[in-house]
Amino acid sequence: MLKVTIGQYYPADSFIHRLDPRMKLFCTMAFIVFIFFVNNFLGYAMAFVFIVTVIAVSKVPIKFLLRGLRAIFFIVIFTAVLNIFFTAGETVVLDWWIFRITLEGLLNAGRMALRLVMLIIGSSILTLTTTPIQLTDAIEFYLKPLKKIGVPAHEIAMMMTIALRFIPTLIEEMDKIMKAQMARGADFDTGGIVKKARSLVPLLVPLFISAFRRAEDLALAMESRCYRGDVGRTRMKQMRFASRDFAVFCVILVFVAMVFVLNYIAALYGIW
Amino acid sequence: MEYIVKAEQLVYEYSPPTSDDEKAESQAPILALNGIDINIKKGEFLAILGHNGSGKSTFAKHINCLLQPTSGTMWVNGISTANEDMVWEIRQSVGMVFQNPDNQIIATIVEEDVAFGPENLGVPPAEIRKRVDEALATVGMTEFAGNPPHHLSGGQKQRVAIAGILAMRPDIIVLDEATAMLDPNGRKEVMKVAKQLNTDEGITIVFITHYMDEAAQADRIIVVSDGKIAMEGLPSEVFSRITELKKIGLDVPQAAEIAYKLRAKGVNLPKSIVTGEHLVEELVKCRLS
Repeated sequence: MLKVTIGQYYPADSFIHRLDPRMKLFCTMAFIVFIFFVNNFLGYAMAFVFIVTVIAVSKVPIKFLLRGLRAIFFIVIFTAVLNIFFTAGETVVLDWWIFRITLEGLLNAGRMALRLVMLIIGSSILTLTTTPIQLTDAIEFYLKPLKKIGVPAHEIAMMMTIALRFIPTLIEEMDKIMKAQMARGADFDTGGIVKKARSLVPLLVPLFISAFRRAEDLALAMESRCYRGDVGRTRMKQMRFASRDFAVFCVILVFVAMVFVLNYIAALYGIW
Repeated sequence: MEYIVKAEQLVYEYSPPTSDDEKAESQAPILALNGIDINIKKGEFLAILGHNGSGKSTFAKHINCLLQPTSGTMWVNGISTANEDMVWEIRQSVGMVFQNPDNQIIATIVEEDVAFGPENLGVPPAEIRKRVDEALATVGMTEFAGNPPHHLSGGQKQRVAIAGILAMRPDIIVLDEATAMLDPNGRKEVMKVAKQLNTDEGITIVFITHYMDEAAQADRIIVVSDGKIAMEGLPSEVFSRITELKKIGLDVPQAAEIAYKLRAKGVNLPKSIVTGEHLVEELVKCRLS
């Protein structure tokens, strides 16, 4: 069975889990944006302490987070290497043949890698502590104002829910088709990238056909259960902001303020 | 007599899908339903039997306004399904369970899926919560309320689908070949829930199937063939007409067939035998006398 880690949820009962998904989404966005404003060592140290605290409070095992990082390990290394070689600077550390490594380059690389890692951890914490359906509800909430200019907020949220619902079903189906074809001598494991990619075509065609058939069935089932968009629709689970959500809002405000204060201090005293 | 569903001379025709080498105009429209009259009593457990393509599913979709008749009329609770203003009222009072258990679950969590129907109806949140809990308890799925649906068995998924309909407080539940893709255990689970809803909650059940043993448990059977009603009556009446059933490509329950063959050999057995238990009972009686 194939493993999917997108939007993987880690069930636990923690302070972070209980937060309103809207607040969590907002805070994550704020964190991701302002992590790029940080330009000095003190700021990174603070962000690091912040994220470590969040991880500890969320009760998500470190192992889980690191597993998510493994997938982007290559990107982090790649960005770091590019930064090492392509940053202009004066303090040369190593100069050999066409390679010239500067202190600025090394610092830049370290910064970029740290940013990326924290960005991924931040967004992982969001998906690990929020059920997909809560996340969808939060997205629908933020898209709602855009309804006035014709953005179908409810429909987008419904599409996301259905997509999430059918990911395991379609994976199971793909597994079945693959096994059926392997039983008749199909080979998915050997050969180069091109050959492997080509062997996927006879897999995708039946998968798509079946997905369309499912969509048709599902539309019928939804219609027979009185679905008519969000006309007069209510929700069983209401989202409510609690005091903890306001507390977290304050924490993120302090975080953003600190980023700017530390940037200012760093500029004043020339800390890198 | 109060009829909850009433169909009069129901006709439904559609043009067959055409491939490139066939000319569209050369093909006559196909009659899926060809003049069907059906009356369904309130609180009845009706089974509709028929082989593939007999029109039984097409009929089911008419009850829920998913299809509109080409001619003839269908009334649900005294409302014509052609009345466009009443579509949502009719769909609320007629719940449909479809064949493929995977393709009718919308949400990623069981209880959210059960809530989907009442949410569409605009029921207040607290009331939805109550209905969801009740519906899940009725079908015996309370312990799975927080589970993702893809870990459930086929029979459990169908029970969730039934709970989703129950939460809408329907008068009729139409099970459109809801057991066709299930294993024997799943089929039993669904049948049990359907019977329980019929006797305990008084919900009218329309059970569409091609399994004879399931139809045998109904109050009444309607056999559909080629878009027409071929037979109608109590299970014991319908299953005693073995030659006719075989002619339209249907089987009879094993017990009924054995009884039929024994009768032909001169064993004195009543025509009402449909289930295995009944057959054993009668055979024991024969032996004793």
